[in-house]
Amino acid sequence: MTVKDAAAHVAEALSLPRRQVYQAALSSMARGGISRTSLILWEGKVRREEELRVMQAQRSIAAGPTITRASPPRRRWPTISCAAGLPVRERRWRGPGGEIDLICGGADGLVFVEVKKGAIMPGRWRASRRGSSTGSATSAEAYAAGMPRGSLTEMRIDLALVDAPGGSRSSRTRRCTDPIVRFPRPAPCRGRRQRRARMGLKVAIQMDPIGGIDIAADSTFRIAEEAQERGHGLFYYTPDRLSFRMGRILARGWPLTVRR
Amino acid sequence: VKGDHFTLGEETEIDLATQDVVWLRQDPPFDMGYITTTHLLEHLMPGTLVVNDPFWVRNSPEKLLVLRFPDLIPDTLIARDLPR
Repeated sequence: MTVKDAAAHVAEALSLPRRQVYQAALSSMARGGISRTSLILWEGKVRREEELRVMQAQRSIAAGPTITRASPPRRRWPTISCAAGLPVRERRWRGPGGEIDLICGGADGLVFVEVKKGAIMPGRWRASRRGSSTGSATSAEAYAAGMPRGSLTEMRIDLALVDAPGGSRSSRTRRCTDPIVRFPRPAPCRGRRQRRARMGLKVAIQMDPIGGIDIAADSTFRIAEEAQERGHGLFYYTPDRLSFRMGRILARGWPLTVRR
Repeated sequence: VKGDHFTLGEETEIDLATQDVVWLRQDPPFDMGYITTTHLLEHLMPGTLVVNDPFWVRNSPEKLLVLRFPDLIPDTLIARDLPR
């Protein structure tokens, strides 16, 4: 889908002249505020967006972009709709990981849209989205379970940042193509390898006694090895050392390093 | 090298909510002990990513899950009273 096509959809959805929307999209892209694949409108003006994860790296859904728009002025959450030919399946769907504002698509692919009131600087945004994005992934997977192909359905989670009315701060568009399973990784975008290594995740592994495993065949060992190589910290414990106490889930175990 | 493939640090007790990821990797038997750990680990979600997802670990019985893929299996009967 080209920018022009996208603009046409948006223009139709908002009853605005196509030309006006197209021009707005182009100028916004020129300022680096918007990506080619998603446009977000707020009160008729193209604003920035932050697209998140693509579940299958590099492969996005054939039906193309999510276009979200805000309805005419309202104090509360804007009404978001999904154009570009993707039918809206659900609004404000409640899943095990929390509510998803909008679910579009079909058996060929799903787009989950999480709408945030935006004007958040990129750095802060990263920090604040960690918890909720993991939740979205959980909900998205649960939703996909009801699709014909289950969790093999192509999926994408888009984050739509909408500005407060009249807001004018800018933030850069950031596209991430990490598979969803890497969700909580800090700074998951390109060009951050150094930083990522310093800010490794804390990874706990609940597994059988590590002394007895066959390192040539044990996939858990391979996972641990790879995580360590990527700079994440490992903690190891066996299932009998897991406990629930005063509302907390505790594990008695050891920091772990592995080698072959 | 097998037999010398890991080093442990000092034993401590941690609150798993402080972890970014918890891997649920122990082998069967899939007994009540196993199921209990899935229930406990579920308390960590969604703040911590638990893989494999405890919910689906519990709900994917290895002998029966394949019934969801009828195009992959031969005609199958599952019953308690076999003579039928």
